[in-house]
Amino acid sequence: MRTTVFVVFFSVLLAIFLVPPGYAFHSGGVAECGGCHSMHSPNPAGSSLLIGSDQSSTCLSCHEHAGDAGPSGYHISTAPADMPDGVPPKQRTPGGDFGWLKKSYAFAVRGTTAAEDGATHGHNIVAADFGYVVDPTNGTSPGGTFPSAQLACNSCHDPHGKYRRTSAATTTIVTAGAPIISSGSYSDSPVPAAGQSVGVFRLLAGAGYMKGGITFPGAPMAVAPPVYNRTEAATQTRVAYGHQVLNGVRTWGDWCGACHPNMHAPGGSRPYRHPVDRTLGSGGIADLYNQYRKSGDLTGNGATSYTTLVPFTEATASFTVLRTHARSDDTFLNGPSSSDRVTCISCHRAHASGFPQMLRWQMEGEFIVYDSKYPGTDTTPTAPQFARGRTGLETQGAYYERPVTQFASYQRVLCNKCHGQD
Amino acid sequence: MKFVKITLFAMLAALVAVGVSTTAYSFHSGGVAECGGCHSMHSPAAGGSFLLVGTDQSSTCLSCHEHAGDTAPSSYHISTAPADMPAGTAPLQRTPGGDFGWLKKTYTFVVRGTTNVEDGATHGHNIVAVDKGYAADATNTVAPGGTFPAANLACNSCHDPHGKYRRDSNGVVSNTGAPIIGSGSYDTSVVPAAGQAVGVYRLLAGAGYTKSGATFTGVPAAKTPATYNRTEAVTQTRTAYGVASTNGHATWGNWCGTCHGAMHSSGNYVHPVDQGLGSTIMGLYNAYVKSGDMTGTSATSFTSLVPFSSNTGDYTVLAGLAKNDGSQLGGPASTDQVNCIACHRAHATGFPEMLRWNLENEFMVKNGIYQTTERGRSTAEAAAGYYDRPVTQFASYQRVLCNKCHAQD
Repeated sequence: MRTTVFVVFFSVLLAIFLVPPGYAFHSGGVAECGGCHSMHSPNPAGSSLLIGSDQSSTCLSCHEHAGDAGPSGYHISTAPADMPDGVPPKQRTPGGDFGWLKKSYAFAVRGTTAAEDGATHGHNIVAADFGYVVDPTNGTSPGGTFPSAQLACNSCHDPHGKYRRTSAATTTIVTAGAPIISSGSYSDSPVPAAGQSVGVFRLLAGAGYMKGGITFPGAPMAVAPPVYNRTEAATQTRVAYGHQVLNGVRTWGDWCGACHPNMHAPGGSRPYRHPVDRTLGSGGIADLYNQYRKSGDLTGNGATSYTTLVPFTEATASFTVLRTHARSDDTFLNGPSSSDRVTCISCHRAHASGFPQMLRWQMEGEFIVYDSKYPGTDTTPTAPQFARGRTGLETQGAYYERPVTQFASYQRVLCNKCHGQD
Repeated sequence: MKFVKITLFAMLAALVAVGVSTTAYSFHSGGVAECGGCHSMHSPAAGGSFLLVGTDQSSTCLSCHEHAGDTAPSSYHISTAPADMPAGTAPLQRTPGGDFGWLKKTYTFVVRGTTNVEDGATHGHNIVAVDKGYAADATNTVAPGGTFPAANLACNSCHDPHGKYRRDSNGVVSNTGAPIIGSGSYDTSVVPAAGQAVGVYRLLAGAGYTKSGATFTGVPAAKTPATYNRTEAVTQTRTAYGVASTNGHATWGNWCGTCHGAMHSSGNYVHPVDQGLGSTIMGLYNAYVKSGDMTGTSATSFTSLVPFSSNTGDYTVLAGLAKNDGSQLGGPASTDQVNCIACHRAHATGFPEMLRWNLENEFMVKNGIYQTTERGRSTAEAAAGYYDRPVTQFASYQRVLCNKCHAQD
């Protein structure tokens, strides 16, 4: 009897520890159809036999989970009940938690009451079942024509994950051919053998993918650590972004520019905007990035200068290279070389952030840390212009819980990571 | 009764909230501000540069520092919109540096039968700010006494817009090091602790700051009252200027001399600058009350129309002098110094050569009224040039204020 109990117990332990940590659903491509579509009981308000009343609601039926107490796996949205007033959304994925869209703040600056609409915090996906509504301000994508009323997860992600990275030596992305054997998003993703392929980063839309009248030119390249939804209180979660304009791969700027072409149009006709997809340059921005530690402190070096609050793209699209840089244990904190590049995601998160314009840091005041504290209505009550209606806990959450001591006691905004004006 | 108590308590709480909360919701906070205030990553002004929100550098500054619709001096505004100063109405701002709006105030008048024009451009530094109607100096193509091109003159010719210059807890000015925790310009500014710094006075350019071939050698020392843009009808706004030339500092004369090197260079036959007043000038300054009245004392002789540099680089001392309530009206000691800003305002004034008083006639007050029609001004404009101080502070026939130090009247 005792032996039987022991065997069963041991078997359970084995099952827990030997099974791969990612109980995949997409596995880099089209998932089990019944996860999103119901052949016999689809949502009556929906279409395409989706189980949600709309496309994004269908995604969030898995990617949001009421009751989460902290960052949890593949969840990218926090249910309202889990983020009451004063409490930040729970998820800490590199793309950010859509829950920030529901975090509106009111505060007084110079005697005038101001409001910061949560809608400014990210991409306003429409997900009726989860309380996400169309952008109340922008009728179309800023700098473009994509209709806000149609913005959904599948505006950027191919829900069927047809785009795949082949085994070719030079990174090549196609939409058919060798079967997708797994996700290609992670540093521990398999390297496809000849005749195989893996999914593109995050099932992102690739060349020819069309929504809302726009067409993507290709998919961008990146690799994330396998555990990516996590606090950065102790170590950072580094996504290694790549760069290539070849074989179905496009730059991050080009990719974002599919919907926002006039924000940073690429190429020789680049309009007068902040540079994007441009190299950081020798003796210039790259050096400043590497030297910058915090306001007034330029004693850093290239070996440890990286911050997830200001990432950059590397001058490679090689999975072999990028996978060694995508770490969540701070074993690779190298800063940029002169040939690395600034991109949209250097400043913005892809889903949402705790700050206006879905920026990675608060840009609405001169200080992001005040008197050695994250600004908050409770932590810095005499400086409401920096708290902007948030609690200190919410501000800290928006910085993924990194210790405030990583910054100067009066830390200026992180444009200075590249521009060093403080 | 209970309702009354609750109401009183609520009123008291509100008053405390108003009184305790900081009045300065800063933008610069002594250093680089929120970048988006001046630069736009996605929608900068067409035709501009550096992704600025204005067509040019000064227009960008004035996008905040001028505000159409002002009706009186208003905090950090240093320019008045044309619509708010129609003919006969003076610019509204009363900062120690002056209102750039005076540059747009051109006056026509007759002297001895001849029509004269006093070009507004003579009233100040002609910053170029296209969006706000400020154009390059049409007369001086380079800085008087120097080579700085007038076409390049902008706010950032004198101010570091990113405010990198900082004064640390040891009084040393540098452009990196300890983080800037707040402005260092005011009497109420925080004193930096070890490992902290405050911004230099008015984000002024410091050692190594270069524009159009002019390189500054340090920042000058000064403190100003926290409320500095105000009428002086009742009490004066005293900015306390200091003397410092070490640890990243430069005297006021040397600082201005960066662009105007030949105006007061050492050995030139010109009015002294950065020179101790000596016992004679000190005595005259302190005794001078007004034309014909030498009954003053050093305890009350200060006038913001003829300020001086106190012979100290101690910011605590300067903060103690920088008051706007009439509590600090002490005159100079013999070691205190005359400098450029003893006679000129830094931005603009109501008078030619951006002087603090009208030097174009022997009388600045005649028969008990400020010069008006004889210089093409309205009564209101004339008084505004003197920051609204009562004309009765002067003699009924008041001679020009060179006499504050030289007493020839």
